[in-house]
Amino acid sequence: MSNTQPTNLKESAEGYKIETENLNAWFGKSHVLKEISLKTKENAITAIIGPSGCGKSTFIRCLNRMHELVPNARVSGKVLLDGKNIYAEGVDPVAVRRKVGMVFQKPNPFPTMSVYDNVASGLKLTGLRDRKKLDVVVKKSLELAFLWDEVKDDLDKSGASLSGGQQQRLCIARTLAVEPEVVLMDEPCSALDPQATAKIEQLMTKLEENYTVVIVTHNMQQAARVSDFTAFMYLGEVVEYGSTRQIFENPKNELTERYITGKFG
Amino acid sequence: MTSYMIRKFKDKLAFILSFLCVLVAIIPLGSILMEVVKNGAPALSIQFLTSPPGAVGEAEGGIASSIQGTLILIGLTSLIGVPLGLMSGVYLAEFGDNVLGRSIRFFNDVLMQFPSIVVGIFVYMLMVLALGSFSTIAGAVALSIIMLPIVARTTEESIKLVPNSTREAAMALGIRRWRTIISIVLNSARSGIVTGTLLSIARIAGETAPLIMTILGSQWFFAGLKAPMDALPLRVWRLALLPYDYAHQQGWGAALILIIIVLTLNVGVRFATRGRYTGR
Amino acid sequence: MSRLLDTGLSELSNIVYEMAELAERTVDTSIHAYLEGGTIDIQIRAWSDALRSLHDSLEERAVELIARYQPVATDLRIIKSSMKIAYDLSRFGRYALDISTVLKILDVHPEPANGTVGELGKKTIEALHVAIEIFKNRNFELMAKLTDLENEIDELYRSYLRNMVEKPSKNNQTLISNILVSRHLERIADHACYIAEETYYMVHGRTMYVR
Repeated sequence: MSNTQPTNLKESAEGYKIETENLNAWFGKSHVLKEISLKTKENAITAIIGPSGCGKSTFIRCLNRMHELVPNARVSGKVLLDGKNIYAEGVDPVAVRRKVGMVFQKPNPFPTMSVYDNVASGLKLTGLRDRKKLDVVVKKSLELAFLWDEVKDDLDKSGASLSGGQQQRLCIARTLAVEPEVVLMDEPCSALDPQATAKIEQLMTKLEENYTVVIVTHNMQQAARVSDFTAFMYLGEVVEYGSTRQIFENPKNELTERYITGKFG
Repeated sequence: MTSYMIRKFKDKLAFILSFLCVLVAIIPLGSILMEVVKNGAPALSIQFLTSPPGAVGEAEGGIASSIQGTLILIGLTSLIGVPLGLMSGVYLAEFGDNVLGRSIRFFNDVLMQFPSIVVGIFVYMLMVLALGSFSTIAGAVALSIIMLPIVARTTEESIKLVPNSTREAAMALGIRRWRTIISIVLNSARSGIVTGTLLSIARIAGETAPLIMTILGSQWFFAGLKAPMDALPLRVWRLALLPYDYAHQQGWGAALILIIIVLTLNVGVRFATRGRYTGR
Repeated sequence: MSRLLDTGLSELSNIVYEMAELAERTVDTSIHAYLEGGTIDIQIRAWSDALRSLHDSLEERAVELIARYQPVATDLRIIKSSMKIAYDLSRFGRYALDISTVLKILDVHPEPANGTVGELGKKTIEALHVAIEIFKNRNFELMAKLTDLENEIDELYRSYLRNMVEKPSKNNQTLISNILVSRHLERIADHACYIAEETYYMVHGRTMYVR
C-alpha cells in the first residue's frame, strides 16, 4: 500500500513539485513499478531507499522520461510536474528533461571535451552561442557545484583528467547549467570515496534551497544524513514514506524497520 | 631440475619464441621497404616527379600524371565513400539492433570480402560500357564500393565503443537524439573513425585490378571525369611489364612514391584531427 | 538473522536488568530500615556504588555501539532508552543512600510505619515495583495504576508538608529527617515514572506521560 504524501507532514506554504499518480512501469513483460503514487515536496531532498531490484532507479527514470529510452520499456499512469502530466499526449520529452535533470551513478563527463565545454554543453548544443552568457553560466554552475575554485585556473583542461569526486561535481555543474527545476540523482556517491561523498552531500543541502532534489541511494546512512523525506521501496511498491526523522527513529511498517536495521535476510 | 627452474626455462623459451615471431613478421615488411627504397630512390628526380610518361622505350618521362591521378582518385573516392560509409556506420550502431540492421551488416561484411577485380568488372559493365569510355569517375565509383564497407564497419565499431553512459548524459541534458549522435557520440568515436578511414584509403590507394577495368591508364594528365586517367598502381604495373631497365627503375620509383603518399596521408590526417582530449 | 549489533544490545539489556534488581533491593532495604530501624548504611553504600559503576559501563557500551553501528529505529530507541533508564536506576541507589544517611546522621527513631511517612514509603516501594514490572515485561496496562500511585504519592507529600508547616512536630530532628526522607521518596516515585515512560517510548516510538 503506498502512501501519497509523507505521513506526519505539516502543511507548509510550499507545494508538491513532482507527483506521480498510479505510476506503473514495465521492462517488456516484467512489471517493475506497481501503482506508485508519491508526492515530493518542493525545495526539499527526498531519498528513495530499498534493496537492489526494488525499482528505485526505474522510478526516478520515469520522472524525466529516461525510462522509455530502453527498448521494450513501457509506462502507464501520470507524472505531474507542477501539476502538469509529463506523459500527456504531445508533450516533448526533451523539454521535460531540461526541466528535470539527472546525475548518474558513475561520473560521465563527455570525454572529448574540456571542463568548460562540458558544463556549457547542455546550452551550446541547444543553440546558445553567446560566449559572454556562456561564461557567466559556466562560472555560476561550477560555483554551485563547489568546483569553481578547483578548476577556475584551467577551464580548458580535459574533463576526464579530474578526480572521481571532481568529475561527479562537474556532471552536477553540467546538469545545473541548463537550469532545471528538479535534480534527480541516481546513487551519485556510490563510486566515490568518503571525502568526495561528503563534499557532494554538502552540496546537496545547498542545492535544496533552490531545487527539488530526489536521490536514490542504497546507503541508508546517506539518506539519513541528507534527506528531509524518505521513501522505502520494496518489490516495485512504496512501502512507507515519511519524514526522514520519523522513518529512521520510528518506522511504522515492520518491513521498513527490518530493512533499515539490517535484518533483511 | 626443480620445478621452479623448469618454469623459468619455459618462460624464457616462450619469450624467445614470441620475439622470433615478431621478427619473422617484421622481416618481410622491412625487406620490402628496403628494396623499394634501394631501387626506387635512384629514380627520383625533379624531372621524374613532374613530367608525364614519355614514349615507350624512351628513358625520359616521369610519373607526374600518375601521382596526380592517384591523388585525384583518393579525393574523389573519399568524397563518395566516406560520407556514405559514415552514415551507414552510424545507422548500424545507433539504430541497427533489429532484423534490417543485421541484414545490412551481413551484406556489408560480404561486400568487404569481394575480390576487387569483380568490383572492377561490375563497374565496367555499369559505367564504362554505359558511358562508352573508361573514365575517372568509374574508377572513383569502383574504389568507393571497396572503401564503403570498411568505413561503415570501423565507424560502427568505434561508435559502439562509446559507452552508453555518455549518450545517457547527453539525453538527460535535454539534447536531441540526432544532436547527441553528431556532437557527442561521433566526437567521442573520432579517433577510431579516422583510423578506419585512413585504413580504407591506404587500401584503395594500392588497388590495381579495378583500375584496369575502369580508368584504363593514360600517358596524359587528368583529362576530365569522363576520360581515362593514370594512377600509380597502374603505372607500376605497366612499367614492371616493359622489358627495359629504365622502366623497371621507374617502376620502383613509382612504388616508392605511392608508399610515401599513403604514409604522409596517414601521418598528416592523424596530426590534423588529433583532439586535445582523445584518450588519457 | 543475527547482527553484530545484537550482541551489544543484549549486553545492554543484561546490565539494565541487573541494575533493576539491585535498585529494587536497595530502595526496599533502605526504606524498611528507615521505618523499622537498622544500620544498613554500609550495605546501601556498597549497592549504590555498584549501581553507579554499572551505569558507567552501560553508557560506555552504548556510546561504543552508536559509534560503530549508527543504529536506527528500534535499535536506536533501545540504546537511548537504556541509557536513560540506567540513569534513573542509578538515582535510586543515590536516594536510597540519602535515606540511610539521614538515619545515620540524625540518629532518630522516625515515625511509626503507619504514619504519613510510612504510608509514603509503602506507596513508593509499590510504585517502584510497578515501574520495574512495566519495564521487565512491557506490561503497559499497568501505566494507569502507576499514574494513580504517583498522584497519591504527590498528594501525600504535599499534604504532609502543609501539615508540618501548620502543626510542626515537637522534635526538631524528627521533623527534619522526615521532611528529607519524604522528599527523597517523592523523587524515587518520579524516577519510577520516568522508567515506565521511557520503556513505552522504547517499544512504541511515541511518548506517553505517566505524570
